[in-house]
Amino acid sequence: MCYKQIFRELAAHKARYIILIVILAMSLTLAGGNIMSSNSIKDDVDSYFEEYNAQDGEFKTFFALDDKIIGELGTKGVQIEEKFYADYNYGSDADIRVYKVRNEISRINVTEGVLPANAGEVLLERKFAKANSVSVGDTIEAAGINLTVSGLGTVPDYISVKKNMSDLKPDDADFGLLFVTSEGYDKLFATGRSIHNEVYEYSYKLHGAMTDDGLKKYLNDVAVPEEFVASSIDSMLISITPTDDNERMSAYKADLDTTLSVSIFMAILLAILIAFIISVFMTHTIDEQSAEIGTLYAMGVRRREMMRQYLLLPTAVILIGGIIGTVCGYLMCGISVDNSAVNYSYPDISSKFYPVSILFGIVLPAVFGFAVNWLIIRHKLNSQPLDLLRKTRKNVKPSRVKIKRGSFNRIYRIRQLLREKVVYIVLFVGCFYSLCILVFAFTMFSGLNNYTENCTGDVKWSYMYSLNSMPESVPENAEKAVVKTVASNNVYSGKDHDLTLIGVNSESRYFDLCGECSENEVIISDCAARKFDWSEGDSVELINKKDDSKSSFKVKRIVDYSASLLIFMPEKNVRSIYGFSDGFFNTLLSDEKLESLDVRYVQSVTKRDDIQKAADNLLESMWSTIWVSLGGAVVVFIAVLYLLLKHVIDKSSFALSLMRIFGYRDREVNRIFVDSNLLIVEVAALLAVIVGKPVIDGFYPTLITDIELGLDFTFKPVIYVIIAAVIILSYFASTYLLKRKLRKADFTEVLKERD
Amino acid sequence: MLEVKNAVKTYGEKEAKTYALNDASVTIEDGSFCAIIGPSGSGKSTLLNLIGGLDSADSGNVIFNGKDITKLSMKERLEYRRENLGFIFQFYNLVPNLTVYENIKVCENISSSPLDIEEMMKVLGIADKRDKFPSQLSGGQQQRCAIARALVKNPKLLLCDEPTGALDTSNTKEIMKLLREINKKYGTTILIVTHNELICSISDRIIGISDGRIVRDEKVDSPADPDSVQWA
Repeated sequence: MCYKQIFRELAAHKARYIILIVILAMSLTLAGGNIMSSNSIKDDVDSYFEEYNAQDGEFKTFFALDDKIIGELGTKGVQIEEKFYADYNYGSDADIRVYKVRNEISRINVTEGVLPANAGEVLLERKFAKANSVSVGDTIEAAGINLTVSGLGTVPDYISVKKNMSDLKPDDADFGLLFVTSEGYDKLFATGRSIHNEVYEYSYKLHGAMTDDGLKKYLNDVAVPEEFVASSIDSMLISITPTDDNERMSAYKADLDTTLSVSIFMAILLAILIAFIISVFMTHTIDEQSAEIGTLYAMGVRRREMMRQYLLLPTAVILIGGIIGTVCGYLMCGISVDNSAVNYSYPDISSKFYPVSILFGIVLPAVFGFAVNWLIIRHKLNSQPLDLLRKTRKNVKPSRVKIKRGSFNRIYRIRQLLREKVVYIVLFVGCFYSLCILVFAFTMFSGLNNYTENCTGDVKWSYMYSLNSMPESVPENAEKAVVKTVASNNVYSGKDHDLTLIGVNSESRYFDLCGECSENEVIISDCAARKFDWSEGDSVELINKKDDSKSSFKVKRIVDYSASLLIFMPEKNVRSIYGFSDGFFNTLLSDEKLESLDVRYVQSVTKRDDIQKAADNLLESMWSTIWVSLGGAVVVFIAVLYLLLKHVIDKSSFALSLMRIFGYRDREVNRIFVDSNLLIVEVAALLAVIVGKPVIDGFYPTLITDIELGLDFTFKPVIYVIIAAVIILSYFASTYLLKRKLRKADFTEVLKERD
Repeated sequence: MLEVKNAVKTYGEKEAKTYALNDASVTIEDGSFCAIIGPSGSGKSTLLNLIGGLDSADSGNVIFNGKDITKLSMKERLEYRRENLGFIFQFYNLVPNLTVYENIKVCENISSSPLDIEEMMKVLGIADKRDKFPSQLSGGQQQRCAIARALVKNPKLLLCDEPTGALDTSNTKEIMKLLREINKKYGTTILIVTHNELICSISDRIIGISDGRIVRDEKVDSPADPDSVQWA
């Protein structure tokens, strides 16, 4: 025996090893591509933040800060820059957010063209420009004013160009950023066509002079100007968002990390599975060569020398798959970056090679593959020379289990199962693994699809106006509400997530609380219940984002409201707990657009249609992931089934040959050697659904902590039908190939058994 | 009745062309017990494979009960073997992970009118071994199991390729006795390929083959009793 045997073994079973190498390479391409793309993105975005002086955080105030406060902060070492904005309608459906060009903090990265030089020019965020087919030099209309596009670009504080922090995903076509000169900004605002009042937003850089909490406390302590004391506003500060908590700036990292960890985990699992499959083939080879091995042992070859021989092939196969996968991952890194860039406004990212991809793509799979085969082959080669020399195919000890009478097919199937139990265990694990991926893909789909179908069903209002102060007159058709953003700790992420607390009046047209809550009780939406894993009777802790104080409440009831993370309590409770005056309100709900509402009081507007659109976009953005998972599951399922059953058939060639001689028909041979394995597939499928699904449902929320929703992963009955159909079709594809092989089996093996 | 007419079977081409069968012709009546004898490489097994529909002739015919086997497709030959033939091999060729009973059941399963397995095992003296595996049996017992498997189909024609080639003299005698009894009891036509001249002495018909040609074809008027033959 020599190393040439590896090549002969590979050549003798080309199809088998090519399939294994291809499957491994595909999954490691995904993992390697994700490793390189995610690191490239993170490194390039970090450099981008550095180069364009990304903010340490931002805060919004009810009123513009006077220079004295900005000066005071400056002397303390904190740099502040105003980045006021206003939103306008664009075209028929879209909204645009207009900023002045920034000079110091979170500056614009001009990717094409130049910054606007005068009031008639504008720079667009580049994804919005592309989605709306706008190029440099084009003229666009905003608030009735024609503007020439001087350039396209990106900004560090909008890596995810979301209109609201709480939005699920950005929508490139329907929301974008515009940057104009100071004069251009004033001109636009003077048209009075903004959707809401100007938002007083500031970016800040701490330069180590203060912490985020320190700044928050400072701003909270700033006195409200005399003229606004009567408006029930007790603090200048609306909100402060450090960069780490800023969804627009940091969500991409969580997204990349999730995709990366899942793809690495699945790739390593697949490498281990492939190692087991190869070990099945190797043990068969060792059985066939037992006489030769015994001879060599008898002549003094050591076991470890023999092991080296037999470990080379499995390690080589996994290494080859790993090398091809890592190289392809690097070559396709750009695709992975583009995939991520669908949801994010990155600067230009250059694909780089990271040595860590060698660790996960080549070293780890090879180490696991080596370890698995080392254990199994070591055990197999642990025999005395004479035992090996005497060991022939015919003398293989069969299982001595007695089988009660039954049909021949049943008896033969049981004998086959007992003889090849290791193979069938690996087959079962392989089927279970691939079917769990299938269930995972459908879980992803169901969660998003259920949300898409139900998100607006419970939303009875059409418009929600968030106010910056109470207007003097409220339109007749509007309903008042008190809304407060609070936070609570998410058990899945370990971090605090925002929720919306709505104080509802008992005669609300839009929310039906059905009875009162005491001061320490809340009603929560089912969306929030799923996100935070809350049940009726649980105690929940809500954090007041203004001063970080905490209040505990008992969950009185969970209501159907899939659209968002909501908590309800009577409006008087909200006012009394959070120190609002009697009659205070900061939100208006209505069925139609409130044309008569003065926009100076409006901070933002949310439309019911926007919720549906966002849900549809979210599902659409996940289709590629769903299809890749589905496709991967089907390929692995068919490959595992085909390779292992083909191996069993090869091992049974003698019996098969006999049956052909005796006159067994194709149908009968198929029933014995192929169709009988449906039971294993059925059991693996049932387990994947009964056991795998609850496990996937349990850990899936940890993968989507960055999505501000609690998804319902329940499968509709039709999903089970589709899963069954996919499994059956995949099974038939695999067995079709096997049956073709069976038809070609001949009887020469038996006829050769003569002196 | 079985007729082989001018059968030719070659292997290789040009200079390497070998005639495994060279214009072989023979007729075998129903119910006869025939020995096909010849040296190694003479074409005995080739003839048996042709008759068994396991191989195809380059020319010539093999006619069984009026049907030309050589003209049949692979599927039709399979049906021919299923309905009419039983096989016994030199090295038994039992399925190692099936018991004696289960090995016999392999053929009982595909027969439209099988004989009773229990009866078969009794006749062949292996009823007490029904739950044993081939590795637990002696050579003779394994061959009995193989015979039972072949006979349970109630075949018209039993093809035996060196059935005693791997057995000692004592077992050889027992197996040959059995085959003769089966021939008498069931009227099965039995063809035995063998090196062993002693088997010829107990046969009704001796067909000698050499270099692919039939060189001897004689009827034995009074075949010997297997008990009376000195098998050593």
